[in-house]
Amino acid sequence: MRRKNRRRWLGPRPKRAIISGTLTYYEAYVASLNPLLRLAMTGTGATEVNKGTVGATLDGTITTMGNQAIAGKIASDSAHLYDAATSVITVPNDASINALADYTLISIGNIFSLGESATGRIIEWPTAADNFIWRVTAANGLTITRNAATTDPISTGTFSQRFTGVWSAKFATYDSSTSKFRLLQYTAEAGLEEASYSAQTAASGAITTPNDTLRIGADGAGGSTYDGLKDELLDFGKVLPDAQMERIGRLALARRWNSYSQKVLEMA
Amino acid sequence: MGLIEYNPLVEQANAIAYGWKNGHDGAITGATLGATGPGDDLTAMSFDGVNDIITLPAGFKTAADTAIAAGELSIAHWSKVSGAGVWTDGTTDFSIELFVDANNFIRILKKLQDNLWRYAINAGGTLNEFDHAFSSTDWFHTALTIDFDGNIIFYVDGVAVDTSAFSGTFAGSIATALIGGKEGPTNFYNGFMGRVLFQDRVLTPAEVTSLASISP
Repeated sequence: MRRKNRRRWLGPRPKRAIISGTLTYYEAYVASLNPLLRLAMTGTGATEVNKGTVGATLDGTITTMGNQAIAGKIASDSAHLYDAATSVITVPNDASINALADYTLISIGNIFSLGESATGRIIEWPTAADNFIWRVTAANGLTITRNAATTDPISTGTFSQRFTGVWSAKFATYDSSTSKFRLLQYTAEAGLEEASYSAQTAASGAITTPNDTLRIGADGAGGSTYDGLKDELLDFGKVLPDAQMERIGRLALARRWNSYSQKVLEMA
Repeated sequence: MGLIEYNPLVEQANAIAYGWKNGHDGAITGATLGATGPGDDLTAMSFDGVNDIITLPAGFKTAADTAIAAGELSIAHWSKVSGAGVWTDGTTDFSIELFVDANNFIRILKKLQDNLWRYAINAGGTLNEFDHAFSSTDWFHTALTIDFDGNIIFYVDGVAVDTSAFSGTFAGSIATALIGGKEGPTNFYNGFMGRVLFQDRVLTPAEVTSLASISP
């Protein structure tokens, strides 16, 4: 197998790749999964550029962020501090992310507290007849509500630990084959865990296309605000398997949480 | 050239020792997840010395074969024995083994005789080996760099404790790649391990020094 007398390069070793300015392992992995929407929360002005495959159509508009250059978790990017009062990002309504079929939503952040009336929005698509809401609740919980015309499917669940005050990746999936929403969370301490559901109702009605902008961090009226940091908001037009969600969470949170592993991964 | 795989052994759920670099996930048999790690704020895995082991997949073996064929390979990991008695318990405990056949293998292990930490590389029946007198009960770092046309360097805690010219011709494809034991499996590791990496080139002394520093 081994070539005993292989030709040896006698010159200097090739220069090692430098990670700065290149994709991190998290970014490279996420890119390989083709997210429709990827807001990295790096916008320092009024625009949050969509790094997902849909492109500029889904660029977000930033409103009164508490801090747009606070230290984040992903790569060297900054994060956004949602001030629990007026901070919100709106993304234009677009058919590509209307949650009419399979999808996976991911929010990577650090929730400081449970937000206004313990209903701080991770996201909301407000419409007159068909609100889609993914929000935090009291007692370490997440809730999905979807007020469709013919039914009101709800998934509500809680997690064992570490809900606020730590970095986490939170996942919501909708699988059209089961018509159910799943809620999951990845933390460095507990890995990927699925919520303990108090309700997980199968959707039976068609999901009406939302007719308003997607709101990140607040509801349609600017209330129910999110209190904490967000570093990533992703929307995939497919159901990611658990292993892929776990890997996303692990790579995302390892960046600054464990410099030793990052040191190894950055070795050429 | 680059990292073949990095299996930090930090997972706390599922029986998978994820490969963080290239997805060469190890299959865990028995190892206890969530043990206290070497000091970087992440956990490690505990091996009971009886039957705990991690088996690396075919993709890893192919990548390691490619590295060996190209002439360079490095292995590094953190480990800690489960107690002082392990160093004198009269058993041979493997931390890593890449096994082709009886005449071609790469091993890092605690030797049968007391207080010896060892590497053994058999290349076509020519044995390259070194025993390092050692009995630490703390976490320690091991690195083995192999230039199949040059030197073998064995590092413990970032210090080169042996540099020897490589002898023989390594041949064949890896049949078994294990963390925590020897093919069979047998000779199971008794203690803790984590941050296992395999590189398809010779790590530099500076890189080994860096890897031997675990501070978060």
